[in-house]
Amino acid sequence: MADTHEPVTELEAVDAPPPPSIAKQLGLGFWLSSGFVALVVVLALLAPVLPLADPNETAIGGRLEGPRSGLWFGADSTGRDVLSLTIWGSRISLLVGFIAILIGFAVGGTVGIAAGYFRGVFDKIVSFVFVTLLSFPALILAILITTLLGRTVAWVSVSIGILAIAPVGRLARAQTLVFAEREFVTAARLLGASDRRILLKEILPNVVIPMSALALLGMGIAIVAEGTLAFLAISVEDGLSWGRQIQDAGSSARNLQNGPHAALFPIGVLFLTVLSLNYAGDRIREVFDAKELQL
Amino acid sequence: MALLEVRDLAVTFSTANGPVYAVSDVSFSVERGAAIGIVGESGSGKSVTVKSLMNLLPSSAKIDGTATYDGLDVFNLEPSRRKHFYGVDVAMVFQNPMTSLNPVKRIGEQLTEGMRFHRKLSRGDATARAVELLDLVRIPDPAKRLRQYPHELSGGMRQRVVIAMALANDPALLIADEPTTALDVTVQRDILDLLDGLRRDLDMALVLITHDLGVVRDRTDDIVVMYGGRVMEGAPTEDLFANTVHPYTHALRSSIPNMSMPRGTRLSPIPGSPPDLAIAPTSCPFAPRCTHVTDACRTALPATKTLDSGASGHTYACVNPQLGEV
Repeated sequence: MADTHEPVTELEAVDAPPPPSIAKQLGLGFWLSSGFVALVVVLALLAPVLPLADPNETAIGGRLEGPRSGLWFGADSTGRDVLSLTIWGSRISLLVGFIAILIGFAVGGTVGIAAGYFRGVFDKIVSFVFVTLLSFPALILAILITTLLGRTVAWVSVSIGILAIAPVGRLARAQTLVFAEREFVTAARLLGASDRRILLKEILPNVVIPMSALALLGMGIAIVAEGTLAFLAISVEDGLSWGRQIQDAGSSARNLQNGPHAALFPIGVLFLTVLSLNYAGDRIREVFDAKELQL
Repeated sequence: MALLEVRDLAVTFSTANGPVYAVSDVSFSVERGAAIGIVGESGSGKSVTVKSLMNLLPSSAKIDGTATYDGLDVFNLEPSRRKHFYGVDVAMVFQNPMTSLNPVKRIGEQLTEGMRFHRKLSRGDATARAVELLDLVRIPDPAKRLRQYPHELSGGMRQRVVIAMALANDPALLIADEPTTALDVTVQRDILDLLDGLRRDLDMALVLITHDLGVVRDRTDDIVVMYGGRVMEGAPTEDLFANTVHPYTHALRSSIPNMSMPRGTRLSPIPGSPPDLAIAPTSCPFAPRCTHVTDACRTALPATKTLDSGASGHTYACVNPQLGEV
């Protein structure tokens, strides 16, 4: 029996070399892409104080004039400064993307975590609502909301945000299910922690990491969605946004042929922004998923 | 008076397919500072037994019988007493140290939370106590560990941290539910010895749940052997090994490898599979797998009898007891 065993020593790596810092694990690509997003955001915030031409003023440059010193992105078909248009346009694109994801997380995240934690009938109802939302044709819903309620920043954000609720909520619910069954939650409950405390202190910090990756991915998708609405001329009325700019510049084949830069610059910035958001989100997910595997 | 006294405990789960009789007629007691081992295979009801005491069963479970802790009725605690009971009087160490620590919180934070909640310690006092606790469970360099996250520690280290957390409020009773099952064999012994040493040093009672009779042999005062949700045999540890009575205990003993066995000895597995707990037993639950089965085994539930007319505290539930070597 046990007493006949040879004494064994605890084979433990007590002082294993410390793993590389998280900043290093995220890699250069992550920092480049988040740097680009940060630059776009800073420029959008600073637009009113930057020495930019008025984006609505025509004949700043010649009709579809190409890029040159002082008019770096060239001019569009009415002679407006494309650089100024792109920077001013980023304000609505980013704002709509951000508010939409905020709505998705505030509603979907809260409801999803609650459903995963409390289970029961509430969970069944929530899951059913999520599935219903997912099966709704996205574009039709967005068109319905913007035409019925008005084409303001708030309503455009809401219409895109509603579409974000179900995917965000499902991830939040699934992640909560994973952690709610873990023994540290049971242990906290045994020690007398309330549901509120368990949700906020034990489960939320664990759910936040995969969710933050989804937030970045989702923001990219929301920006593209706003662009799509703008291209269909049902986004924010009279507002400058990337989608609107692309629509203006790209709606005429002749303009596109004579001065492709007017459409290509906003397209390029939109593309790089969404790519950066996706890449940064993916890296976060990969690095922290690997962490989870080590556990 | 015993610290913990469990009498005629029965736990029944109501499921879609009718009731499941997970635990029936379980009685045992734990003295202050003593160690008891609850041994049985998967589905024997050993975990359900302690979970019922710890109020960890789902609401579909119906609990009958009584459990008294220091004169308190465990199943009907007053809400005000409840917090103290589960956080301070009784503590529990779970099976898997990989999931019993929160991966995104530092060790120090997890260790101090309970103390700060139950004893209203300041942050500084709680941290000092945390260092003391890690030292107690023999974790080297405790001050540094407090700032680490669970993934930076090995499995054995994590289980030590979990034990330290359980000890935080000086429990009088520690329940360890298969504390070493998820660990490497080499680390298992260290953790078990640690638990044994802590029990002696801190004068704490210990309930050790395991499927391995060898684990409890040198570390407990009493052993309860469970099968099919029932107690098959219960006795002081030495007496159980010296005078094994129940064929199931015999079978468990001969299925454990032993370093003193001659080379080439075959271990004897127990044939068959555990009973279906959805059927209320009307006969000995071990009868279908028992090598000493008689007709009487199949007709009625064996009553609990005492060996030596009760002098040794050795009880068994068998109609065809096999005393001594089999």
